[in-house]
Amino acid sequence: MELILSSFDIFLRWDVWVAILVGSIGGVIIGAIPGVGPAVAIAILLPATYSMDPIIGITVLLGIYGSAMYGGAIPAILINTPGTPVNALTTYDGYSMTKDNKARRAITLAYWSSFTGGIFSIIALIFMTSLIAKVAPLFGSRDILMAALLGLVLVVISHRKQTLIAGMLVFFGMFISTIGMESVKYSKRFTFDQSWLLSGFDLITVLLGLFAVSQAFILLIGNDRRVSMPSLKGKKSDDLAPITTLILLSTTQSRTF
Amino acid sequence: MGREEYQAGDLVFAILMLFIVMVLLVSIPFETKWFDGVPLVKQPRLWPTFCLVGMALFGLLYSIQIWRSYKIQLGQVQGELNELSSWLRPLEFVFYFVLYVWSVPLAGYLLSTLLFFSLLTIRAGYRTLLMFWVSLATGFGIVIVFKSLLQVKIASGAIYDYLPDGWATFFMIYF
Repeated sequence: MELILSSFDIFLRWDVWVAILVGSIGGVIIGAIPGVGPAVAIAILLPATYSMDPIIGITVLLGIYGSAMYGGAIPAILINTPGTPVNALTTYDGYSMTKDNKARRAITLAYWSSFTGGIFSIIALIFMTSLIAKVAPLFGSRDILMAALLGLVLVVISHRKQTLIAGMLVFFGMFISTIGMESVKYSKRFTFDQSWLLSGFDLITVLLGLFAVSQAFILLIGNDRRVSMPSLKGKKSDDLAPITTLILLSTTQSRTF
Repeated sequence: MGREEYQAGDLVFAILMLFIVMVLLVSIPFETKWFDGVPLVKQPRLWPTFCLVGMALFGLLYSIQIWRSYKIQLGQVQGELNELSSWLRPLEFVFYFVLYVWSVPLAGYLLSTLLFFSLLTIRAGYRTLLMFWVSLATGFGIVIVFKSLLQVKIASGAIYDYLPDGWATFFMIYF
């Protein structure tokens, strides 16, 4: 409890607030650039933080990391291209809303969902760290396998009336991850004697190819369409009220995982 | 299991995927290895085979469903052909992208990007002077962000060898 109270002293410093602001805005911009995720941004900016006060440096990096996830939702919603790999699913609903002239609403929802999730994560981290420290070492490779299997099953069943093609593509995705040099005997798998396939497929490259390049082609061969951005009507709370339960449910479920 | 929703192009897609799966299944003995004395779960051949068998199984069931839907709704040939043509039309742009990637190690990232952006803008139908300058500015901005600032590893152009020593090094590092 003493630690929590002393952290409020740090939190009230003006330079910490400036660091949060700079980190958050920078994170949104970085997250919105497809291919440049928060991990890459942190790797690039890490040397720049060496000269800073440690608390300022870590605040800038945390600001970037936290807000980049929301930033990645912006291109996912507007141009059907996820900014970061975690925003791949945002394209499903987000881009559909853009096509229905509801881009602003989709971005507002993404913002409030990210905000709720982020705040809840921090609160959970503060109060549950000791519990997580006890449970985390028990989480072994078998548990990770089961979690991965659950993810695959969810992908299939969430594509209602398209379960068979979803199942096929799940196996295709798993197959792609086996291409390249394997780590047991260092033998080549499905490289077809191509040296560029030895290291396998990079997730970001695959995502950019699937979402960004395909969307670029669709836009290049299609006709221009003017998308209007109608302003929000009523209060934001009215807009968010119907899905508040959903946001809270998603937040608590994601914390459980 | 409910019937799959049929969309134009599904039949072609199903046939294409089945063909790819068959080719990959046949190439398992040539593209993977089996080591004696290694446990089954660590065999390099196991997991690709598992994935391809799963793909084949789901692909076959999917094709059967699609074929049944297809027979019910005759007259879908035109829809299939239209869908197929919309898949082939982007190939022109794939060619441009490949040409762009091929030209970067020769002409350099900056020159290739400026040329690619301006020519693609013209090809896309934006043929005003304003859009020409916008395309050049966008291309230049992207080079500055990704190569000059973020130092993304992109091959430097062979053309830079013809520049004076100081300029060549500067362009190789930043453009």
